[in-house]
Amino acid sequence: MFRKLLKYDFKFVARWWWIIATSLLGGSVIGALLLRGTIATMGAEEVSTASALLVILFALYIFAFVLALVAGSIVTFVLLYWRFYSHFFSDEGYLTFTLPVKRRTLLLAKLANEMIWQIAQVLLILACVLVFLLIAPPATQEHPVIDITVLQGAVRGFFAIFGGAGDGALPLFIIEGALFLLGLLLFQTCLVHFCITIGAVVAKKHKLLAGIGIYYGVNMVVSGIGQLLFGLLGGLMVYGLEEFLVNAEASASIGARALLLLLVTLAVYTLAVLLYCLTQDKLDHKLNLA
Amino acid sequence: MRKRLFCIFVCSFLLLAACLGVAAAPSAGADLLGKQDYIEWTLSEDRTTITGNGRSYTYYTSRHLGSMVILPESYYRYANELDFLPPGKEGAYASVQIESARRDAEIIWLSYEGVFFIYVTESGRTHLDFFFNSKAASEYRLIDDNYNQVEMDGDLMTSLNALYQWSQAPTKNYKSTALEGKPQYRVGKMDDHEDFFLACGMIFSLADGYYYLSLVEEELTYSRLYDSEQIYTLYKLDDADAERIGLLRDNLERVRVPVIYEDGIEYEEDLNRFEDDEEGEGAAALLLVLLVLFGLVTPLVPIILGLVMPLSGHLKHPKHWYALAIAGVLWLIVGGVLLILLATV
Repeated sequence: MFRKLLKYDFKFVARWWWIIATSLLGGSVIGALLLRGTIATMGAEEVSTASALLVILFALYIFAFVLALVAGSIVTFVLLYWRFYSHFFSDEGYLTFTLPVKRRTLLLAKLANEMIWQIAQVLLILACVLVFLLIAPPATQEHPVIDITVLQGAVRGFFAIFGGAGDGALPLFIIEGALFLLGLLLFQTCLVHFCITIGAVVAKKHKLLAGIGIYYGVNMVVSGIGQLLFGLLGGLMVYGLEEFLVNAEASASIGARALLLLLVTLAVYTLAVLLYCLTQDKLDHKLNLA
Repeated sequence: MRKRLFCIFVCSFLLLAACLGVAAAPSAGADLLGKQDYIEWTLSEDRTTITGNGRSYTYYTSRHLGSMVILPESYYRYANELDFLPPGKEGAYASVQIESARRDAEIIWLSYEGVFFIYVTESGRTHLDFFFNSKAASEYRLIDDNYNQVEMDGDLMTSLNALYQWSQAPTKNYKSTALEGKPQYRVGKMDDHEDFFLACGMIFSLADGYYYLSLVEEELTYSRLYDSEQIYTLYKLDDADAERIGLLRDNLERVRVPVIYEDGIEYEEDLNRFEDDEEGEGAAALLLVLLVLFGLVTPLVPIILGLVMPLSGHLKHPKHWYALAIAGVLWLIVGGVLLILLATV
């Protein structure tokens, strides 16, 4: 039953999302071509009116494209959580909860669907950046169509961020980093579920509005605590760790850094599990569809 | 009354303008009594010559630069910047600041994309050539990666170099990649003006003692030491030399050097990566406190919650709460392992 639920949820979002994806990818191709033309024009010794217009056009286009990227993410977000709200807490909820499915399966299917689409959204943004890096660099004698060296440089630059990790530790830190980002996404999804559920349980009218209000408030508190933990205490911890490891063996140094990142990652996952449990508990006992 | 007020206002305004003018004049490069000109620098078309200060400085290259550290007792920073691109390199010009050890120096340097480039007058070239090629020096130093430094006896340097002539000295072969992360120190000589340090060898602190690698004997430079995977043969220091190196290591000192700007402003700049030893110890202690709180105490909350909630009896899905307890236990284990690791480092 979980697969069926996931399939229907997946289809609902896919029906709209492909439009967002193709528009953004198409938009990034046009933007990259415009950027390529702009770079080529700016390389010329004389600046003509046409080239100046091209630069202005490119600037306007990029502004609109960035707005479209943000809007695409917002639309995906709204699609996902509107489905969650309407299926559980609107009139449709009566039907949903009469299905011969356990409530935990319903929640799990929603969570899986939302995670899939949010990861897809992140991959879509990365694909747009990739298109820019591939198409925008002007042709050279060695690369008459696509200059792949820029992309290679960007990838090298990205891995250089982990340069201090040591050769053998690079894959470890990349996996840990990916797990951490996945944990943040899971935490955020569980937090939205929890806030919408609390809003629906607490408010008799305007449940969605109450959910959004609670999410806004909780998010502010969580961001504040997050900034304090990661900004101030995180900085102090990293500084202290550097002090500890100044004369340490390379393996111990890598191990300590990896464990610290794993510790933070586990804390994020634990919080996500806590929010999931609370949401499940509210769905089981205090659901108010009146 | 109005006229008087107007006069007071105008006089105050003029007084304020005069004060501001006097205050701003030195930093703008001119004072009220006479214009102070900063040195104008120009780069030749082939980028191998910088002209300024009534001198002509030419680009200086040497393989020894890879082992050299600029360690003057003060830095002189010129006010006017130079649009610079290293000779033979293609790319964009960048506005860089020119420095030297003192005003009117024969050797100047500038940094482009984090790499130093040296320009010298004829006299400066002779000085550097002599410094790089001479076997003896009046002063030797030991420095660490953070540029903490300590003066070293010349006979210890001689003793270290003698390891390569003494066939009985125990040796150990190490891959460059394995050596890179080990605690290490550079030993070398200072030039006669005590502005430049040239690393002649490396001391590595390994599990069974100190080992020496001569950059001179191996024809290596410090900057290329870890460029590719190579196998280096290290010579073990005898007990007496190891003890002397240990003492030097304990006496490494943080160095603060005055930076003198062309307009006369002077301040001290730290060559060290870490600000203060006490501050570092404080940060390490704070890390332990935070780790105990974050790694050992905080995970108890989800563990207790995950174990207690299913016992409350009103839950339909107690297993979810066990997942919370399991996550908390994993968190606690990782926190504990991290603390043990840090305690043993």
